[in-house]
Parts: sequence; C-alpha cells; structure tokens
Amino acid sequence: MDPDQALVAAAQAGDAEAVNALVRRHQARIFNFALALTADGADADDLAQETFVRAFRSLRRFRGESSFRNWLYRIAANAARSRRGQRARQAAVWDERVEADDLAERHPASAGSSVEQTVMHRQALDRALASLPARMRAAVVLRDVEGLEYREIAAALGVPVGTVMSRLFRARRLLRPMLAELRGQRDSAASGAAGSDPSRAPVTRPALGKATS
Amino acid sequence: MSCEEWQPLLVRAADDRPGALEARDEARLAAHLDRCDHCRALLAEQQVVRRALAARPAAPAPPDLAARVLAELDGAPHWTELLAWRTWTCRLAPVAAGLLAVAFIIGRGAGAPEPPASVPELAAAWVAGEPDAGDLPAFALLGQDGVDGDRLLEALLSTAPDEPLERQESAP
Repeated sequence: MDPDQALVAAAQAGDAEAVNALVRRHQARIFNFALALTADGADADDLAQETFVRAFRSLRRFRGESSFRNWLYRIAANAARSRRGQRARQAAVWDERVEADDLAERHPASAGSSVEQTVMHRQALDRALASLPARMRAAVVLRDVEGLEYREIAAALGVPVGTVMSRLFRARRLLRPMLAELRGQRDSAASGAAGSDPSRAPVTRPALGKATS
Repeated sequence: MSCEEWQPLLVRAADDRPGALEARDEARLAAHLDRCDHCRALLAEQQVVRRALAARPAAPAPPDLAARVLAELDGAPHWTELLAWRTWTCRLAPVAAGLLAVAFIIGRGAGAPEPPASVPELAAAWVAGEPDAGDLPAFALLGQDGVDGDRLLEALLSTAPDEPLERQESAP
C-alpha cells in the first residue's frame, strides 16, 4: 500500500494542509533528483517547484497505479525533458562557496570544511551525471542515486525494463572514466593542491530559493 | 552467447545484494565470468560506478519550496485548467442565452434608428443594407447607436462562430 494514500485522498478533496505535507515529505528526493538531472541549483529549484505544481494541478487524474512518489519522479522526468526542448542546455558550474554558505545557513551544526567537501563531492558527481545523454542520466539517477526498482524506473520513464537495463549499462560505462578523474582530483586536493585548478574558480549563479514566475 | 548479451545480467549483478539474480542466471553468469576477462572487468566497472553514485551526498531541499508551491497553486488558474472547455461551455451557456435575450429586448425597445453619426463606417453601411458590408461581424454592432435589435439578432444568428475571431487576428 502506498504510504501516501491517505494524504493524497485528502489533497484530492482540496485539503491544503495535505498538499503541504506531501510536498514536505517528498521535496528532498525530488529536489535531489532535479539536481542530479540539471547539475544546477537554480534549475533544480525551478524544476522541483514545477514538478509539484504540475502534480497537484493534475492530482484528480492520479489513480494510484503507481506510488505517489514514483508518479512525482515521472512528472519530474517529463518536466525536465520538456525544459530541455525549450532551451539548449549549457554546462552549469555552481559557485561552490555560495552553496556551502547556503548549506551552513540551513544546517548551522554542520558548517565547516567537511560541509564544503561534501558539497564539492556532490557537485562533481552531478557534473559527471550532467554530461551524460539525458535519457541515460534519468535512468542511472533513478536507479543508483534514488534506489528505484527497475520496473519502477521503466514506469517512470515510460520505457520497457530492457531499455532501462541498456541505459544503465551504457551510463555506467560512460561515467567510469569521469569518476576515476574525480577521484584523482580529490586525491591531489587532499595532498595540498586544492584551489590551484583555475577551472574550478567560482562563478556567479542565481541564488537558491529565488522567486519564480 | 556474445558478451553483449550478458549486459542485462551484469547490470543486475552489480546490485551487490542477495537475490539480485535468479539462481540459474547467477550460475550461468559465474561460469561465463570464469572464462571472460572482458565481462569480469565490465562487472567491476558497473559496481564501482553504482557504489559511487549510491554514496552521493543528498542536498537539502530549498526551505521555502513548499510555500512557493502552495502560493503558485493558490494563484491564477493554469492554462491547462482553462482548457477544460467542456466545463466552461456548460457554465457559460446560460449566461450567453441571457445576454442574447437582453440584447433582443433592448433592441426592440430602441425605437427608430437615429442618424449613424458615431457608428463606424462599415457598421453604418451594414445598417443601411449595402451589399459589400454583408459579412460584418456581429460583435461590431454591439453597443453602437442606431442599430436596432432585429438587425443585431439577425447578425448574431447568421455569423459563423469563428468569423469574428479570424477577423480580429487578421487585423493589422
């Protein structure tokens, strides 16, 4: 049984508090899915918001064939695809210092160098993911980052399970050299070369949590 | 069986959990891996990447995301909702009928037409019955002085529904 069933029924009946509860319950995973798809904080923010808004505007059509969570993943994947169709994607680079500040603000207890390392580690993974062809990216993120079952990924992406397996295999093949490079960078950073790479210089990005139209 | 055909099993085997493969498939794959360095390397590669991604640190969601979603849902209706045209048509049908009736009654009580000084040229021509002005859209007559109810009703009933819209779009 879908653990969200009762809340979804209440939301379908127009209960705003149920909507609020559903967003709060799923916002972290949908935002992280969006972040792994876009590798850009502002884009991920917009995509997550669009996903929830689309979901609740069409909630009457949700019949519970999948879990509410997987339905959200499907909407997010579709929204990401239509966004890619609207504009050419550019490789996005985060301002790592800004994100570290954001994190420290939200989680003061975890502020410090370990937070920065965590952020940089995630950003590096997300950049590697962002370099994949979009279809492979969605499959490998849903499987390896979000932990969905193969049939759930197939349902979310609207493709057969065999296609999911094929995309996973190829995505991991493409990621392997990039992750080896990432490990090399981390090792050299640990030995004192951190900050010397000009390609990692921070650039400005829109603030997280910006107002959207 | 070529190495390519083992790929789906290699993906599943990389899951690192009991039962990821059925017993029969597991035995077949193990036998193949014993004699195929290439597939053994591929399996290691799949496992390394899967583990690295599984260890991706999660980012906290923006703290105001729920508030923004609720605010957007409370705002103006989205175009997809406006597309529920059946609902709109049903709701607006009585209103349209009422407007027609009001226009008809007002028109009948208007008496003799006054000189069409403020009427646009085309409307004036139409009222005067000039043949060239026969396709004037009905909406152009609404609220105009000198147009009686019978004329207006006739125009409304004889004008194709799309006609005024097309005329609007083709206007310079």
